[in-house]
Amino acid sequence: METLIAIKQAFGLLLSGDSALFTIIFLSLKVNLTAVGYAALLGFPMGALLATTRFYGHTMLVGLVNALMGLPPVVVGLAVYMMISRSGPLGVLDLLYTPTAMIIAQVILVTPIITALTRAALARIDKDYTPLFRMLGIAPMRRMLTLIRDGWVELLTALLAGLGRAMAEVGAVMIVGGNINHFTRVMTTSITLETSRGALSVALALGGVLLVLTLLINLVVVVVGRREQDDG
Amino acid sequence: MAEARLILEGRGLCLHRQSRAIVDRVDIRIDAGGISGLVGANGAGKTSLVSLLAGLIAPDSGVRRITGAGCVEGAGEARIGLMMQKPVIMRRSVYGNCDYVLKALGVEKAVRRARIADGLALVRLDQRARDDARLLSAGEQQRLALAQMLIAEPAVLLCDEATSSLDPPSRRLIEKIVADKAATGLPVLWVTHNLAQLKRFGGRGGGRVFFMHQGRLAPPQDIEAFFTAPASKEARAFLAYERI
Ligand SMILES: Nc1ncnc2c1ncn2[C@@H]1O[C@H](COP(=O)(O)OP(=O)(O)O)[C@@H](O)[C@H]1O
Ligand SMILES: [Mg+2]
Repeated sequence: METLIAIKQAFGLLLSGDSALFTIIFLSLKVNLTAVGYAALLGFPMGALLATTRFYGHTMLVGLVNALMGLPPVVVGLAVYMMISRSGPLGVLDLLYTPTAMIIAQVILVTPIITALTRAALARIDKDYTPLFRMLGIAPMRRMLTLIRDGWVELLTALLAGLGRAMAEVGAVMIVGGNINHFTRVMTTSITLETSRGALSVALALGGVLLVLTLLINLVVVVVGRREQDDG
Repeated sequence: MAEARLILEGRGLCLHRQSRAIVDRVDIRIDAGGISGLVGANGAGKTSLVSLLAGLIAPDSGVRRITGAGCVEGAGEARIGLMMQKPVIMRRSVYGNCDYVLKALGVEKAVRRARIADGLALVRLDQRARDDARLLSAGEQQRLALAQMLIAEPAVLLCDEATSSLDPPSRRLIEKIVADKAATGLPVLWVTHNLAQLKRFGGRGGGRVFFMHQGRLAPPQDIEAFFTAPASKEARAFLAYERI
């Protein structure tokens, strides 16, 4: 019964356009989209480079990037915290408990995902295309651009996978963002807080939004991904 | 095409894989026009040799040289057209697959458009220009590969089992187009393990037959001589299988 009431209230909050709620949703999107944007700017070129070049330590680096996909968020949060806290090496920048700090943590978490998925996808296309590249004497830069262009579906999938991870992330942004109301409070940290203090309707409303966003992201991944698999 | 007479030559080509010589001290020279044949059993090393000649892989020893008129530094690689048994099909439209090649060669847009239209019409894919190339059938994809190579105006065309896995109509169309090109002076090296096809198709325009066995290449023979009096014991054995 209580649950039903909470659900009803949650819908009420969403439909009434509760401003506190939408501040949180908006900040979530802003932080995560920004972080994923930076992660893509880093991850796409790094993945493309790893896919098209061989150098000493290449295999180890690929293994490392793959391993970094599984970085525990709280550990990343802790590391970033130590870097930017007052006594840390970047303490003077005064970043602790700001959205910027959250973005930094998210970029660290998401970049390996985008890099690794990009590398794997482009390496596969590169293998198919290699005879043509050799035949035409395609230069390395052009080769990378060709792969990025022809692999855009996989790159989009990598981007969305990164976004999914960022949206769901709670540990790291909690540590470096501090979950400050109106400033660094995002959906996941807010759900954690509201649940712990029994405000289920707010938690449910945010949880519902988060769920719908996550489902949408994954739906796009599936639809776009299938388009690519059709070719066989 | 005839004005750009180019010599493709391999000297002492060796390729080792797992301490085995896949291509073993091969000397080969493709200069005359016509359709030369490169025959041999599966695993003889034909694809490896052709890959060396096309510059897809580097030999462990020996040299590959492209010399002659019309050989432009840098763009030289593209002067050698290669049709593989399984062509590279880019994730683009049929037109886009052709356009990529010409763009890479620095051909300007208006010329690209005209050449691609001609090339696709030649292989009867002009109605499919806008389609995703990956949706084409195997025969159509191989025709696309042929168009892709021809619009680049190669000085030599290497065809590695280009029709071996295709149905008869596609095979016939590709054979006809290649034969027509050869008749205009384009030197063709036609790789096959199919003697019937070699007989029907090879040797035209003065082309000769190279026989390959376990990485070694026998000296070339005229096509009649190859079938009536093969120079090597292995070639005789290879021909004998077909007569049974
Ligand atoms: N990358 C490779 N690694 C190991 N062995 C190879 C490789 N490529 C080809 N071979 C071997 O070399 C031999 C010649 O192959 P190939 O040139 O494809 O012959 P063909 O085209 O005449 O059938 C075969 O025995 C094949 O298994
Ligand atoms: Mg072969």
